[in-house]
Amino acid sequence: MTRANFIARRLLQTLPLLAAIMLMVLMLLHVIPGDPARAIGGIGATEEAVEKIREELGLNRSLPVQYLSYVGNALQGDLGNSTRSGRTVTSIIADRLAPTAWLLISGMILSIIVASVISVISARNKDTLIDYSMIGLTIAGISIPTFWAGLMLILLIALPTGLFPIAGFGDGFWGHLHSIILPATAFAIAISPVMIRALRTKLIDLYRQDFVMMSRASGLNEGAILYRHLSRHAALILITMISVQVGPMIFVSVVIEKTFALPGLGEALVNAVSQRDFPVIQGITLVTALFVTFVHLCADILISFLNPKMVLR
Amino acid sequence: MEQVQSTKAARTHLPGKAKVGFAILAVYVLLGVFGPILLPFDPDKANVLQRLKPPSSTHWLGTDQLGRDFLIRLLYAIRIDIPVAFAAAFFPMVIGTALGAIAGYYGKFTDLIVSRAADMVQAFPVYVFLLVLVFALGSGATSFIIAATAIAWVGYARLTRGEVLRLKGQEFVAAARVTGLPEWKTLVTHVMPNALPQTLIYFMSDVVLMVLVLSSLSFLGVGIQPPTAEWGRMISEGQPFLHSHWRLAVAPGLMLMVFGIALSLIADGLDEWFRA
Amino acid sequence: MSTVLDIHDLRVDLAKTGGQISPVGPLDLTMGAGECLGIVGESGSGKSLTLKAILDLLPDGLARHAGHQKVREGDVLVERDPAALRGRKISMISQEPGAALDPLMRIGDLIAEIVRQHSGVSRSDAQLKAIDLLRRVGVPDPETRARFWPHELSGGLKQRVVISMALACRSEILLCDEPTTALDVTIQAQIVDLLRDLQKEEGLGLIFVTHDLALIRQIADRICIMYAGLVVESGPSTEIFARPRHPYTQALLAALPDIEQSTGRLVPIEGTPPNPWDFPVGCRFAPRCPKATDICLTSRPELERSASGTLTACFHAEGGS
Repeated sequence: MTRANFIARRLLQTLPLLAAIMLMVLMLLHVIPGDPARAIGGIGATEEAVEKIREELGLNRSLPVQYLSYVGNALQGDLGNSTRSGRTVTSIIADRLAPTAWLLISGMILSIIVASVISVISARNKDTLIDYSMIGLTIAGISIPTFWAGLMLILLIALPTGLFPIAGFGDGFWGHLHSIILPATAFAIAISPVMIRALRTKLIDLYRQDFVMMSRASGLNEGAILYRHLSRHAALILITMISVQVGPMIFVSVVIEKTFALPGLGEALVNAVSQRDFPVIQGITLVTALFVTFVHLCADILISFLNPKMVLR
Repeated sequence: MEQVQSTKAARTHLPGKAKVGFAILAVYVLLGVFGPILLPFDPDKANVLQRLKPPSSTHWLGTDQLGRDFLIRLLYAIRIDIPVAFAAAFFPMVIGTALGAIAGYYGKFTDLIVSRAADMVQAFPVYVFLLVLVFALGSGATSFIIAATAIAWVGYARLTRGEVLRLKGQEFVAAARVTGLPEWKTLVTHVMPNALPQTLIYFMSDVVLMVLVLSSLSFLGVGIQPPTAEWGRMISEGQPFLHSHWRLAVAPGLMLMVFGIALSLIADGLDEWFRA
Repeated sequence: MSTVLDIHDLRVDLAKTGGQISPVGPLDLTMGAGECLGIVGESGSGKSLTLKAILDLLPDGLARHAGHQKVREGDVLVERDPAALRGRKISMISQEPGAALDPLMRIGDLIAEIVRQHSGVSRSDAQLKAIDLLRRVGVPDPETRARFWPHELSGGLKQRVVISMALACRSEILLCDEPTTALDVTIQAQIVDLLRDLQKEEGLGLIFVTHDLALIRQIADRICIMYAGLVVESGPSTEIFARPRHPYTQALLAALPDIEQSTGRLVPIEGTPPNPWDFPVGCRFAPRCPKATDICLTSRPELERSASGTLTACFHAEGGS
């Protein structure tokens, strides 16, 4: 099948998925045993308060009606209102988008750079002390709880040197950049070990391939081989990894936001969960699910450009 | 390409790293089982007069911000984190492996259902999902295990399905079927033993993941609730004292890290052992 | 004929054993301009490793050693590092053409890359040269084919592409590591014809490794027979086939199915070749040799020249069969 076909099919596949996501987000409320309205109201809520919640959130209507009205509203940008503050969920999301976006983007870039450099060094120096120490670091990295890594960064770097803020997002571009450095580092500590493992294994495997031998036999130097051949293969792996890791990345960012008091979507979600603010939970979950789907879609499309043997999952 | 064979010794001995991993795990288990018996402190009872005391001969690691003996809380946390993490990896393993094996072996309809279900679960930001499920089910160990099972089975299913598909095409399977062995028996006695090694390795890594997620959720306040001792929770309680009593935040993290390293060593060691 | 390649005391060791175990060697190789040297042996004889050792392209865990390795530059033979020879004096094609082509690049780009590496021309010029090379190796409709991905080509076409990549190096010697083994018999013949053409028209020297005696007869000027890592017999192709003197060579030739003789049984050689850990002291073929005597078990025979110009390493070498 041609690439255009593949992309078209992939896009079409996304639509039912989006519908299912909306359904599941709606269903979250009904997964709770017992009365959803009461669950939101909490144990101490009066009957009237519960009834009010039921009215407001339209929980007394039938499921299909709820679903359709939810989708209809969502498409118009209305995701309901926070039961805590009364603000629209959309405005809350809009406010908190920036820190999360900064964290995710800078974290990912840092992770990719770190993972690429370490895996290349490790693969080229296979079975030497350098390799073993990198592998050791990787194993340690996988076992480090992200929030703890963040705290260690604060303890060992921010507190002694006073060079980095330990909380908050700062003002303006440079303020944001300054305050995102440690969080992004914590992000990279959490995410890059898995990437390093996969990349290193792939690179070692690639170096054994005949086409690498052929390139060497034809006189290409190591740099050219790495840059022109292996980079494509590595990019494929990285894109696949990012696609697979998107979920963990979001979780990691939630944890990091809490650790560094970054006012992003993750922090909002955690607060909403403890405050039982259901519309906010619903809204952020929806946005996150949409983001993940979007990343999967982009990854698949990018891969179709790199890999001629396109396979529809 | 001519391959150079490995020596026979490498193939039959469990690699050193796995042994180290098991040893560390054993230490944890011993500490968790016997530690609380040997130290006479109550991990949950607050004693405000004794708060934030430095290490001494009575309290070997000092006390925490509520005056509880710190060491005993670290040890009691072993009884929470490790079993819950193992359980949270075990149930998905059982369910996922079974589903994956059936899907891979019998194919067609069962495969379609299982794979579609897996796709749907994977399409979601699973960890956010986890968070929300915990919200729905309430905090605590049981809901965590339920939530983990609902999400983590997918990894095992995909892995097992892949292995079963790979093995299905091999000759020893055809040989078994040709002799008239019923399908389910072929699956259980011939195919599965060969598919299980990879599952075991994945399980070990999964436990590490589960303990990290559990402690993260507890850190965020939606996992194990206070006053129960749990490493993640203890770290969040220690965060305000980072600049003065940093051991409160550092020690539980080290416990987590060493545990994770031990299991990773076991997983890597098993991987090497099975490859040879 | 002038010598263009002179290798003395080539050895391939298992790196970990520090020279204790050598799957290949010591052996000598020489080659004249534009000639085809065939290296023949069973699987495990070390013939592939020998070829790879010439350019130091050995897999992990194997190390190369040589007394000297000289190539002709102008009027003299000069000692050269194997890595320096890659793609310049010597290039290589291997057994699995599919594996030799990076699956993520179009074949035109693969060839053009090598052209640019050696001559620094512009990208578009390199693309044109690539199309030229494809035409030279007999790929039909090269302009279209250059945009193909490797997996879209048949085995025979892939091998032609690999050969064109080797040609792009403008080398004087082409190492061929069983290039036809993975191909259908009819395609084999085409590739062999192509290589012979190139040998004639470009003056390309070939070192052709194979296990197929019948095949090597069609293409080689001189042949080396390898067994368990050592050369046991070498000489002009016609001589080797007419008057094999080493018992192993004789057994190989006797084992060839002869389409003209309809007597039933094929004549295999009893036993299997030893692996490098178990190389016998003394002649390595002795355990399987019908002519072995005590001396064969204790000392290793050296290569000795016969009247007809063949080198044979055997205490019981004879003329004729």
